[in-house]
Amino acid sequence: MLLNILFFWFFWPSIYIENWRNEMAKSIVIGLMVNIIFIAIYTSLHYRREKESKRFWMTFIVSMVINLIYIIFTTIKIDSEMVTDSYRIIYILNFMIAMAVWEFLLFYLASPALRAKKYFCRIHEYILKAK
Amino acid sequence: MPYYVFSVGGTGARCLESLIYLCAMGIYLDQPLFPIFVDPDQSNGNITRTLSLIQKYKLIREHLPRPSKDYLFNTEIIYCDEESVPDTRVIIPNLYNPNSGLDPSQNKLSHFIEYETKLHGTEYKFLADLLFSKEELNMDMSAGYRGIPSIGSILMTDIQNQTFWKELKGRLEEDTASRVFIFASLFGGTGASGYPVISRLIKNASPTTKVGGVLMLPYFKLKDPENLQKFQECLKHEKIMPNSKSFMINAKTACEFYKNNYSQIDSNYFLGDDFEHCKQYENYAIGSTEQKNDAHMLELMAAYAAIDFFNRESGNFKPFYVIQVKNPDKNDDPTDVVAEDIPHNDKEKPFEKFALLYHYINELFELIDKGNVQLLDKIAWLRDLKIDDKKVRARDIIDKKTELSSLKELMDSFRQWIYQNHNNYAKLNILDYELKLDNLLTNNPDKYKGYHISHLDTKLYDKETNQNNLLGDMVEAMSLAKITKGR
Repeated sequence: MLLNILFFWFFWPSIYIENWRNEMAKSIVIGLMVNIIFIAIYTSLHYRREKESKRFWMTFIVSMVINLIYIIFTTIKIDSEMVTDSYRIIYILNFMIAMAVWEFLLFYLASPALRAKKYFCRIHEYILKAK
Repeated sequence: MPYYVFSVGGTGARCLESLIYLCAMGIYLDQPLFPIFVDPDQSNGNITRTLSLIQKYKLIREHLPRPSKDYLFNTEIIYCDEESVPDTRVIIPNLYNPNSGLDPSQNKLSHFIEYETKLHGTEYKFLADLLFSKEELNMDMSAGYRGIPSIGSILMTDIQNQTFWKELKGRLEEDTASRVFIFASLFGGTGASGYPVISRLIKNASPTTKVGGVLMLPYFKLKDPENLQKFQECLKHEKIMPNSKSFMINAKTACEFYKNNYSQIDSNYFLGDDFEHCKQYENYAIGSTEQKNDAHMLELMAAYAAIDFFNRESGNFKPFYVIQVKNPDKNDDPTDVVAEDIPHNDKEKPFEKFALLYHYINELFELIDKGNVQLLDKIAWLRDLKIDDKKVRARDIIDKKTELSSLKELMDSFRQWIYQNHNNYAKLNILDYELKLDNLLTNNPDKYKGYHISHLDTKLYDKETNQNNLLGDMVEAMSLAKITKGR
């Protein structure tokens, strides 16, 4: 239930529920780890004001790409018996959206610790500026 | 209870300029500084440059209402632009013209001693004839005393007849913590005539007041005036012109005089350079705006002498000091003055911090000029700043450009000052002469190699500033930023 509330907002498996729960939990743990590692990488990068935006987006995108590669590989390997209709696509889509949202949240939560970099990693700042 | 600093002549003004830079760099003085320029030629380029520096300093200092001991610009400078401001504490003028009692059209010694009137037919006229030539008696003194201190000292004595002198005397007697320091040269006209007169008069007026001063031995040369007269129309009719050939003789005679007569002055700091090798000033001018000479490392040492004098505990004075380069043979270039030679515990650190602030403020101005709102808004320490309980935004920074420009202007002049200090036979070799970051520190050239100045954002972040204005908070944050061994 918690998995659905926190991560899987529109992927609701109706068969092999227990197996799917394991898959979902495993993917979330790995996905979040990738996000945390990239936040740590961004934190450790040398501060340079005019390159900071670029560096942030690069970190953000690379972690998303790694998550995407990971989830595609994982989904392909899932037993066909567990999959009906468009399960694979919805699963990937849900995972990616969840990871993007969580990365945004994690960056936001980590921003006070990022000190001088803090306003570069708050995505809503870019959205507000773009408006 | 301020520290009064008499800056006599062009050299005095340049020494004071160095002292102002040291104050800007955060070298601590426990009392406000009260500069008094003494020069008959107040349009002198050296004075106007120092005055402009003081004005910028004051503008910045006004934005720093709550400075702490180790802050940049922590020393208050008492300076008033207007000549007479009633009901303020500035009654003593910051600029004093020893020729002020003379009619501007009669700016001559003969007029001052009343050679043609009062002295006429008396034996004093013969005495005047014995002491001064006709040319000296009729020389125009509006541009200074042209290397003849015997003329200047007569006019300098008139300072005790000025109304402010009584006020100064009263203040010095009343406030025993006040001290007086004099910057002057020993070899020229104005400085050499001012130092002995002013120091003696102050000591006589208030014997308990600690009086000290720097006497600069010859450390620059002038172009040969006889040669210049052949080519420059404006100099052709001048009968008396400053000549560096007489500097050494003037200085030698003066030294003998001071040695025998000046042990009652609390501290006399003697500073000099190798006169044979020292630099010849490019522009030769008898006075006025054209007399704008480059700064010299020795003037910085003179400023350090003033700091030493002001920080010294009472009863711990020596009548004569000689400041020299420490272990000159250990340096690659024995004539260079390096960080270890700085006669202050902070050594090169204040210079380093100030140079970083120079780069930082210039980078910030680039963003302001480009109107780069997006990037300005992401400078975390500025963004977190609150002025009148309102968070600072990029637009506020752009709007405060004029307020910040006094700091930028001072920083630009600092760069020029460093360049000039480097441009002598005896170089001030602490920072790169162009303040290039890649090679900023002479004793540690790799420290800022590849360093980008925006990295300073990380050092300025989280500094709790409480000046409640952008310029003051910026200076405070920079003051609080630690300069570490590594970058």
